[in-house]
Amino acid sequence: MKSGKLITFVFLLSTAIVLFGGFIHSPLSQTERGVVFNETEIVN
Amino acid sequence: MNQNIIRSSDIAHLLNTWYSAIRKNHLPEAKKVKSKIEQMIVDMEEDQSLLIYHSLLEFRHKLLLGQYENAKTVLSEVQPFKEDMTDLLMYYFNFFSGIYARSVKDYETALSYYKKAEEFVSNISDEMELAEFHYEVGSMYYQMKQNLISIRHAKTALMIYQDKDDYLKNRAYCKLLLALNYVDMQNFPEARNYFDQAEQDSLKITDLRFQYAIHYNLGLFFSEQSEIEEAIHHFLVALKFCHFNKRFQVKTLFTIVREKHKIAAVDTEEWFVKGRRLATEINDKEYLVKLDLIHHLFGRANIGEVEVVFEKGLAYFEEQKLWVDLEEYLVWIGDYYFNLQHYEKSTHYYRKAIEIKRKIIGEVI
Repeated sequence: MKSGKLITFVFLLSTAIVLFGGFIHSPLSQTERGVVFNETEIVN
Repeated sequence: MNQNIIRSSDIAHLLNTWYSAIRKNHLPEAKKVKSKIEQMIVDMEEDQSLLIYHSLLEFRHKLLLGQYENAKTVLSEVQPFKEDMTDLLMYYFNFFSGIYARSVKDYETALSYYKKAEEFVSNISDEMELAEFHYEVGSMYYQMKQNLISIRHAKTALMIYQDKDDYLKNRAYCKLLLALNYVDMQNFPEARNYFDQAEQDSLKITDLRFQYAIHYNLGLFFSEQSEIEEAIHHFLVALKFCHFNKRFQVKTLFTIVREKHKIAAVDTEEWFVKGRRLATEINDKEYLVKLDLIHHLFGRANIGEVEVVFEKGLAYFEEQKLWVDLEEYLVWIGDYYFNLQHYEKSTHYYRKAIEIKRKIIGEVI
């Protein structure tokens, strides 16, 4: 049972690495989007 | 016949001038033309299409001002006349509705409106409108981290703006958009190239918001390369340029907190408190959630409290359909548990992240 869970974990982890590239080992990589929109002059 | 009746063709000409000012982001000019039209339109001869066009521009004008609630009201007034709209008006209706949805961060709805607008794009003879369309769509794909599609649209827009002196700012924004996409793709030389070009343009642009945008985006550029001190420097400069907009201030304070966490700076807490206070003041739920998440992920907190914050934050992203944020925070939370050797929990979050990634790709395709 335990080894089954371990295999599942390793499988998911490797899938995550494939999908996210090296991202998961570089915490605080960029999630924030840059400022691109040509609007919202005054909102305050 | 009433001698005071104004020909609709005269108003049509003014409406085009108004829209042109909106597109160029020339707010004072847009306001001036708008008030002139308001005085004249009451005496205009009957022309249903022109009245709809006027309402649609009113809607677009409010979006430019960031008055989203007012804009929504105008849109709901136009909605019943959809059946009477020509193809060109249908294009504007869908395009502007897409901009509205994108402005309130509902990217799924924005995408569906842009796709609908694209069906009518062949009716557009004005190439500046085409450039505007491509820029907007490119910006939206950038929000969704679909960089290759975003680059394609941004390059098309840039090509159209290239030799138009009047559109320097639009051109510069295109370069920023391209630079940011290359940052996402970790192609830093190409990103640097576009940042340099945008910086050159910025010398001729006396606009606080553009100065803010360039420094904020440069902050991200350095942050991605782990040049934290340089990133913080640009975020701090950006902060000085955004005193006119508290939402931009909160966004910038958040990134400062994030960078400070990376180097475990002694004043991290101070910046966190500043950011949280402002986010609370303007009720910016997204950044309240993000500040709390980052603070618990990388600060010192007990595990019971952390779980509550994580679940609350993830539920917020899901509810607001902020899929890109949801995906990335799921990975970070997965990392958090992985580092604590809580493998079942980390697997749970990685698994969810994979599902969200598939969802984003599925939507775009």
